[in-house]
Amino acid sequence: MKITFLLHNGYGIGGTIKTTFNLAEALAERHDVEIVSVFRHRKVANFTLDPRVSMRHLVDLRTEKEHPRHVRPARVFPASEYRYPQYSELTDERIQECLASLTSDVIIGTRPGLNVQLALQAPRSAVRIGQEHLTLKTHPPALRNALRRAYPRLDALTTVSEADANEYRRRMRLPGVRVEALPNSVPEPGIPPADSTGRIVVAAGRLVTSKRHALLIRAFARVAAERPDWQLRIYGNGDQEEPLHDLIHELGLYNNAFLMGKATPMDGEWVKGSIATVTSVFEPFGMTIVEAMRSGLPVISTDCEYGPREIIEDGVDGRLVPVGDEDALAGALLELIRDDELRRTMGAAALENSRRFDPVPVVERAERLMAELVERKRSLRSRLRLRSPAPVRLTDTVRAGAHTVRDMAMAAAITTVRGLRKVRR
Amino acid sequence: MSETLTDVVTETPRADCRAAADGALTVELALPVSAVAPELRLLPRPKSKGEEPDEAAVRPLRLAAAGPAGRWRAVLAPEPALGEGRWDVQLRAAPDGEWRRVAPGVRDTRALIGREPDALADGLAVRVPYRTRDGWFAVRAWLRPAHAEAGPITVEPAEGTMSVRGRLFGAEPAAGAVGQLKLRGGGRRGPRHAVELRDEGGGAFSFTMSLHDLVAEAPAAEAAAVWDVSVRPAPRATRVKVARLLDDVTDKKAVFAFPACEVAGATVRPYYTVDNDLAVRVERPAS
Repeated sequence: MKITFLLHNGYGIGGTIKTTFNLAEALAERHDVEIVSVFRHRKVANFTLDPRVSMRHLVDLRTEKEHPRHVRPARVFPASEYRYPQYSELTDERIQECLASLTSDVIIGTRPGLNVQLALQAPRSAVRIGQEHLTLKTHPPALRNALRRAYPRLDALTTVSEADANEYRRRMRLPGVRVEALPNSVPEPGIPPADSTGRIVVAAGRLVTSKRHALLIRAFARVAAERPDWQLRIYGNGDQEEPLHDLIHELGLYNNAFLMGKATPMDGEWVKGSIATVTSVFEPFGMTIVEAMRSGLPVISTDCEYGPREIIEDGVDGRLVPVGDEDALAGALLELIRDDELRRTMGAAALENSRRFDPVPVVERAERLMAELVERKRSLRSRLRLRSPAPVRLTDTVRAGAHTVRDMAMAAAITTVRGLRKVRR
Repeated sequence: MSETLTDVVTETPRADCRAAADGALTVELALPVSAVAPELRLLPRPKSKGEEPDEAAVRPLRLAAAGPAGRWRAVLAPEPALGEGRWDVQLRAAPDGEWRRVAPGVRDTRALIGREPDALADGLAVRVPYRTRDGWFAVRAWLRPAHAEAGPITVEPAEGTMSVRGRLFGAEPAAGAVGQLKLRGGGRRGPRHAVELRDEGGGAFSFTMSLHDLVAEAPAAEAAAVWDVSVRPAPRATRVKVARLLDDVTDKKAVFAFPACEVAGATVRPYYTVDNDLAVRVERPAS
């Protein structure tokens, strides 16, 4: 199969970029894979990409930032999308041109706005898969409505958690669209795993309030009081750097808690620790959880929606603690720090249990989905060609098929419920 | 618009690296299978911009085929030590090719954490592979006849004091050993403050310095003054710089951020210099 990924910016840093690279590289073993990056802002990508995957960009921010059409707002890319301010008439145009020129069997969008463009503008001959790396529940209502209008034209929608896939199935009318959870994949790190003897707690993620690093630092104050030989290392950049530094000073933790700046790749940094933490209020998936586990670290995570509880088995390969609960976090940290044997067994379990996120099994699922969709599209098209001179419109009707009646009723019900919910707010 | 990442990657190979506690560095690269007899070398980076690198000091690294096709490995043995400074890693894919820098891959430096150097016969040698600010692979090296490894630094803003804990390597503290702060740029007889070293046992020392004196003594004309921290193991012994070198963190300056102390209208703050030496900065508001 020829497979094309449509990505916001393959030259940046982030879970979506990393996981798209991982999936693309694994698919490249057997398929012709390319990544189309809407933007490019630097010469060399932050993450390494296997040379078998080609990457090209549509808008070069180093030279086209002031392009007359780039300063005019986008009209196809939905205004309610988080990244809307970065998109423009120029991106609309380049994405449309690019999509129209593709001869790929499968085209995969990697964020809501790109999925919308994919649904509206990609050739009907291609299988169009929208990937959702965030969650339906957290999208603003206007974006949800924009997606409601466009997503029925996709062939499939994949989420990163089962819980989010269920949300889409329950709350959106997507007749004929396959909705499936497809977890992010993380390859086996290229270096030996941690051996549970490191006296470092590692966290990685942008320094933004939603990651609750302040809570982690406060909880770690209790660890440092009891075990001053332990360190906390937080990797990442962000607007909370200064407040977090101030907090470290205020708590007198400056010999134990460190803001390390960003590190790519993290492989070499995870293995220096023997415990990893995630304190987010919200994690659609939790890429760093899997990365840490693949490096042999048990992960203490908040039990936030949705990813952590689908990755961590509480008490076996890590711990789930309530969101925002400093006591529970400090308790879980100290429990693991005091007990070398517990840390060792949980680390070993983490290593074993995280194998299910290896690109091989994950990519097999993705491949099966794509192959089925390609096959479905082929048979549907050949049947329709015999029957009708206007295949495109009929396709919609046929595809909606048996779901239509139930979905219409459900859509009405959902609208009512949503109306009620709004009043209650 | 047609430039792809593939081009960039083949242009710029990435080096994975493993550091051993004894100082050995193992570097691995994946090169296009077409690469014949590639060569790797370490080139000392000139101390100041515009200066030419010292070609005579270049350290060649022998690359040998390792495992799968296109994978090459080089080992930099612990001896001889690298001179103190920054060393750029360069690759030449073919004998008639150009020397080019390489990008950093996975760096396994866990063995450097909590390093315990043996008794120093020829001084302390430290090497930490790292990613430069502009994204290249390089090696940071230190070479010191004796060394005072900084441990926890405690700033007491209420009292206006700073306490330094550390361990001495390559020197034995004798009677009259002191911890010392010396004004940078003050010359041989310039301002300095010394306090007696406390023996903390197990080779560890500590000293506590009042920061008030630093403000009083710094030249009034200067808005900022820097005091370098060292230990003098005996009255007539050579100063030993207090630095933090025995771990995996290449650039301490940004990572080890100490609180500031407001003393006599000045802001006083310990910090690590770009060479990871301990210093204290005194800043007076412009008047």
